[in-house]
Amino acid sequence: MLEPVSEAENWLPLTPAVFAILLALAGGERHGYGIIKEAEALSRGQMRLGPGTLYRSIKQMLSAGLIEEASERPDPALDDERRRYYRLTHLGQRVARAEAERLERLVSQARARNLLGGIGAGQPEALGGAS
Amino acid sequence: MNQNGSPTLQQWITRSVALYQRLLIFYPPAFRRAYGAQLTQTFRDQCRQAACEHGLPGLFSCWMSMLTDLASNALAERLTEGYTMSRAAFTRLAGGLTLVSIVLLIPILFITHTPPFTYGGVVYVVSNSCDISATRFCLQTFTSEGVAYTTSGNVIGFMVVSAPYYGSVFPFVAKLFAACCFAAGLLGVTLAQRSWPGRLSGGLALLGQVGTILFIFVLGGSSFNALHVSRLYALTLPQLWGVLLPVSSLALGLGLIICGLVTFKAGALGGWKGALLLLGLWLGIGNAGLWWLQWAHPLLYLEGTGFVWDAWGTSSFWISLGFTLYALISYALWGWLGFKLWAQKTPPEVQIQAALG
Repeated sequence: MLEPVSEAENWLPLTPAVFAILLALAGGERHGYGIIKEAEALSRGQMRLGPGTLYRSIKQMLSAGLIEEASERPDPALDDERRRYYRLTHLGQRVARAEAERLERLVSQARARNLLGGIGAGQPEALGGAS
Repeated sequence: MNQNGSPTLQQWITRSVALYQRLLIFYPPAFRRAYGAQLTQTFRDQCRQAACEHGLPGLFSCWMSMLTDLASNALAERLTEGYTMSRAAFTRLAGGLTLVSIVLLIPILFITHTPPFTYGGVVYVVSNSCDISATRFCLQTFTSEGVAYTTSGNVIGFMVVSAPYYGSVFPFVAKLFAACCFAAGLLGVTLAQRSWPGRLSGGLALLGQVGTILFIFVLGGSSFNALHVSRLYALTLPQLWGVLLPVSSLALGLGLIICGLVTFKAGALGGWKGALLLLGLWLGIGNAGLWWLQWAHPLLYLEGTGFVWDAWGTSSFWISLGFTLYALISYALWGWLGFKLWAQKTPPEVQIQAALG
């Protein structure tokens, strides 16, 4: 069962980098480069985190308790043992969900104002449907 | 190496990673210790993938994005963590900056009075834009004849009057930077003192220098007339700035003299204890005399020497020679102070926090 998000909403809005890291870790534990690749894939190549941005964000998120370092690596046999893996904490999951809901509300507003096409749009042709 | 003797892609990657490790110095030490290895590992992974997919151009692209990432994040992290430096390290840094200020003055001597537009129209426009902003901040400014007028309707006229004398933004920036470097040197002097009279007088000199910086900035450092402040101009300036000029000058000279006396008596700073006293005496007494002969402030004759250089032959030989020697000896004393500060090695390790963020 989903938990209330009121506490989590104190962290909003998140920066794009932090949200991308939370999203990447929502799929499971990952090391730094794994997070970068996953964030890039999720954003279809639009979000390219640099090492500095990644680890500054990780530092902040660790101190805020949004993520934690995983004590065990998913597959030690296949990986460099010097790599550190990170995973979402309970708070991190709630914050990610709260941010996703916030963005969803914004997207709904955009849709209601005919900025987006598709289901629910009042006049989908307004954004390029008409030619 | 490949058959042509040029590095292989793998060697380029290895070199890139080695260089990146060196660049990590820009991050604060604590951040470097915590994440340095992971940053390097991640950059190595990125390089490998970029090189694998796009060859050398991919590696180049990886470098470009890394440099912007490094610059922005290292700066942000420095601002977040604040800057920690031992007192000894800061004293040495202050000495180095003082020496930099001397080096900056040398070109100023020669270029301030070169023909206009030396550095091109764009720089000139930028320079005068700074000038207009600065002079608008002040209530009044002066023509080269010393006639006061308000800036409200005469900024352009002021620029026209100033234009023949000023062709570049460099003297303004360099002079302001030199003034800030000397202020850092005085902060080093203050921090290197162990007794309260030494610290107090060092702080007084520092305040004097801060007053100078304010004066240069507010009156428009790129304004020829504002920098050639004579006693006459000082007396007719708006009240606050008219007071600031002699007070800051007096504070700088007196502070250094007292600080030098304390240092000399306590022997607190080893072999360079005479430098402060000599510089203070030279600036304080010499400046007091020069003030009546048009020159007002120790930092103003940085440009003043250039002026004398120009006026050589039109002024009295002995006056020109006197001004030039006075300025050059001041530079030498100033440089000596900087060198001795820079050579300091013994002050106790006391952490100073200059929290920037």
